[in-house]
Amino acid sequence: MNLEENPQLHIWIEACKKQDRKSQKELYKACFSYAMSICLRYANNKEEAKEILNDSFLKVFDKIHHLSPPYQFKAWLRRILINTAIDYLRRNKPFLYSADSSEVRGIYVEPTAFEHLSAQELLQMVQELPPTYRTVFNLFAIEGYSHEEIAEMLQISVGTSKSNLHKARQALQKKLLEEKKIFLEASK
Amino acid sequence: MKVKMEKMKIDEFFKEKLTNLEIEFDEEVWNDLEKKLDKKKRRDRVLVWWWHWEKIAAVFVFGSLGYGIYHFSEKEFHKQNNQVELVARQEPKEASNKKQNLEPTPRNTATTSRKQENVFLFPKIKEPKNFTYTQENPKQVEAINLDRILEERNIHTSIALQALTLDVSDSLATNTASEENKKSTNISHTIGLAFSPVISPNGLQAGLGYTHEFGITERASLVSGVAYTPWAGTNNLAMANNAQNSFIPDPASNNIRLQTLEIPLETKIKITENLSVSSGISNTFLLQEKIADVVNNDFEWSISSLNVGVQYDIHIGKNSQLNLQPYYRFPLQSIGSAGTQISGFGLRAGYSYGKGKRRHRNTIEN
Repeated sequence: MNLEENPQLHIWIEACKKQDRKSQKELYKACFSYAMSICLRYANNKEEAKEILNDSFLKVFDKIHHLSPPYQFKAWLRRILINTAIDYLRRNKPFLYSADSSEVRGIYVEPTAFEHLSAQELLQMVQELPPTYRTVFNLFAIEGYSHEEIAEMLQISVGTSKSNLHKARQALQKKLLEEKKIFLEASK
Repeated sequence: MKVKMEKMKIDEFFKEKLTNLEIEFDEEVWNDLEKKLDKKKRRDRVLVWWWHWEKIAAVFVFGSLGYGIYHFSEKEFHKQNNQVELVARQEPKEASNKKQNLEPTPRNTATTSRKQENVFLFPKIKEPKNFTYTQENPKQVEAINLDRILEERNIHTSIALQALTLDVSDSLATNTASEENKKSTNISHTIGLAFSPVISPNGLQAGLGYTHEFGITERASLVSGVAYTPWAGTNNLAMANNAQNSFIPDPASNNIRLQTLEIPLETKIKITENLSVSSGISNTFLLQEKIADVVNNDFEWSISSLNVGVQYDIHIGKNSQLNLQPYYRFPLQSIGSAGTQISGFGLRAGYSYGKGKRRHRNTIEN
C-alpha cells in the first residue's frame, strides 16, 4: 500500500500530534511492512530489526508535531529509520574499516536462475553479510546514495566505501551461486 | 551479447526483490512499543515538571544575579558617597575658619534657594587641597554659607536625594578634580558586533550578531546578545536524536536548512589584560526548518549548547578592540523535527566598543 496515498494518513498524523494512542497504533500498523523491511535489511536478525523499528517510532511520535502539510511522511520516516539503524550498528560496532580502495566492478547475475529464491531468502543473505559490508550495500544499492554521501554518513573514506561495496557484492554473488548449486543438485 | 542482456546487476536484482517486501503486522512488536511509550509518557511528565522548575530556577538565578549586580553597584555607590559625606561633615567648620568675611547675605541666600539642589549637594563635597575660595567662585561660596545655616537648623540631606546629589556633584567636581582622583567603579558595558563561523559535524555555519558585555567586577562579566544563524548542511546536518548518537549524521537529510536566532548567556573571567575564558549556554530559537521541500515554521526554543571558549582581545584604540574567541559547543537539547543538535568548534570574531572604558565617578579626596 502506498502510504502517501492513504486518505487516513493526515488524520492519523494530526491525532498522533495529540498523542492519541489509537491513531498511533493505526499509523504504526500502516507503516509496519515498509518500515520493518528497511530495518531488516540493516539489522543482523529479526530481533534487532524490531528494536530498530521501535526506537525509530519512538522518535517519530516524539517529533511528529513538527510535520505540517504536505506531510511527506514516508520520506521523513525513512530518514529516521536509516538514521536509527546506523546508530544502532555503530553503537554495537563502530564503522572502523581498514580497506583499500579497490576498483568497483559491476557484478552481474542471471535473474531467471534465481527465481526459486524467495525474498526472505535473499534478505537472509543480506543479513548474513558483515555489518560493515551490509550497511554500505544497503545505502548504495537499495537507497541510492553515492559513495561520497556514504563516506560522510559513516565517517569513512570514499575508497573504503567502494571497497566494502565490492566485497559485499562478491559475498552475495558467492551466496547466490551456492544456492544455485544446492538447487540444481536437489532438482536432479 | 545475448547472454549479457539476460544478466542484471546484482544491486538491481536485490533492490527489486527486497524493496517491496511484504511483512505482516506483529501485535507483539506494537505491545513492546506501547510499553516504551507509556514509560516515556511518565518520564515526560517528570521532565515537564523539571522543565518548569528549571525555568523557575533560571529566573531565580538570573534574578539573584541581577539583584546582586544592582546591590553591589549600589553598595559601591554609597560607599563612595559616604566617604565624601564623612569628609564633608568635618569640612564646614574648617572651611568656615578658612573663609573669613563670608557670612551669608540675604542676596546670597536668595540666590541659592532658587537652586535648591546645591543646598543639599554641597555639604557632601570636600574641596581639593588647592581649592581656594575667591570671589571668582561665588556659587560655591554661597552654597557653603547656606549649608552652615541649614546645618545649624538640623536640616540634613535625605537619602532619597543622594543620587541626585552625586550626579550633580559629579558635574561640579569635574571642573576641579584631577585625573588621579578618578575612581573606577566595577560596572562596565561593552557592545560589539560578532561574526561566528562554526565548523561542526553539522556542516559549516556562520552567524552574525550583536553582543553586550556587562562587567560585574574587574575580572568577571556577563556576556549576552543575539545572533542570526542560517544553518545549512549538504548531507549530514541533522543528527540522530538521542544522547548516544549525538554525532551521528542523518544520512537522508541532505537538504536541511535551519534559520535560528541564538541568544548566548555566558560568564567571562579575565585572566590577563588580553585573555579571558568564558563559559555559558546558548538559547536557540528555531525560526524555520526546511527538510527537502517541506517547510516547518513551528517556533521552537531550546537550550542548544554549552559553550566553552577563550577570548583574546586586541586593543586598537582607547575604547575599542577586536575580539577573537575560539570556542566549543557541547550539544544539549536538540532542535527541529529532525532532532538537529548544535555542536562543534567555532570562532567568534568581532569588534567591540567600550571595553576598558570603565564608567568613572569623580570623587574629591584629600
